[in-house]
Amino acid sequence: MHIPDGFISPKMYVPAYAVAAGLWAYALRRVKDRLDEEAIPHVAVMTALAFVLTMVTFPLPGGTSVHAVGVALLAVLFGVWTAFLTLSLVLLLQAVLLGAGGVTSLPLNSLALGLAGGAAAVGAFTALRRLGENVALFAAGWLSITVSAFLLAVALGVQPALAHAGDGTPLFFPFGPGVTIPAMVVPHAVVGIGEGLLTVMVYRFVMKRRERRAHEG
Amino acid sequence: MRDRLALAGYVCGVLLATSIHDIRFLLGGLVAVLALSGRDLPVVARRAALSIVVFNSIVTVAYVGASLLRGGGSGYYVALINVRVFLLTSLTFLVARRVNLWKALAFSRTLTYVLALAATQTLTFRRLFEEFRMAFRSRSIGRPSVRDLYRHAASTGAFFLDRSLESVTEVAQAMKSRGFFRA
Repeated sequence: MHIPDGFISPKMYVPAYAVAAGLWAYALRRVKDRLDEEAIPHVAVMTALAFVLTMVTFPLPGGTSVHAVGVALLAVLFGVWTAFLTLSLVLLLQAVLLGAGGVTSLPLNSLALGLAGGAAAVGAFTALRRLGENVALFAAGWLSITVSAFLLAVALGVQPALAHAGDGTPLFFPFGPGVTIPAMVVPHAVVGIGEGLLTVMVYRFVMKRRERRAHEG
Repeated sequence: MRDRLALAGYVCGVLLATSIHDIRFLLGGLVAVLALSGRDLPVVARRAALSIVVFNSIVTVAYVGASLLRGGGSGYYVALINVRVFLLTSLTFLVARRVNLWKALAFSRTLTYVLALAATQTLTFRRLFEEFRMAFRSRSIGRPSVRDLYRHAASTGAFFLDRSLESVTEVAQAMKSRGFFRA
């Protein structure tokens, strides 16, 4: 879902870096306060986990399959700040090593996918938990994808207004929000169903394994 | 020092490539990046082209299609955006090949350790993930059902979740035993 390099104007990505840098520092402090000596290994290993979660694919109706994001799972289990930090590091590694995403879009992708996606997931999980854990987890997974897609669609959609030549020709992404919002949100609302199901299933599998281990131990 | 300067140069290059809208300068920058790639040129150019082809094709085709339907549109824009994206991606791959990222980020001890640990853990997890994938494929007769695909995805995710929690403790203990936290 993330935005590639070259489609975001410096008018947006430079301030986005400033905001994201402050939030990365804050997130690291929060994690350090909570985990002390385990903070560095925790962030590093959770980054590897977030990376591998993005490699997990799940099928969608129509015979296609898509990659998971896993931010809801990370946020629900380890907190929004861990999810934000680790997903940002994954996006950095993907941009530098694989050319997926990009350095100019890194702060926007991190803020939308890691922070907003993670916060939406935790919010949905907390609000809907009384309806049952499965419902809450599914909503967390679905909402994390849909909210992120909406925010990235808005970020892309404002590019023509933000940066254009004298004759109105766009200089970065060419389509406005009227095109980007439906084009991104509708397919991701479908993808979110798979992400929601996967969030429920992974959580259930983890709990089952732990129960079994506790029983055996 | 060389790596830090190269990283600073890369940041300036990215800012320039996104601040200049004259295609002649961007083409000049692209030629310079490809020339600097030297014997890595085929790898850098191929990887950059492969990583941008899908998204750029979608944007280009959609833009041309919309222009044909509504009138207007600009061939200059199509050339500009494709050259810019190719330049940025080639530059990133060139820097990733030539610059020692760990040395370049040495100004922050925490960042260096987090990235180094994350990269090594990621490599281990990736290898394990591939083994899981191949094991699932080799044990499936015919096309697996949607239910099986979801169960496999979920059990893989659950395995890595548990594994990562164990790894945090192991890595923290290893760091402690080597005096990392006293330094």
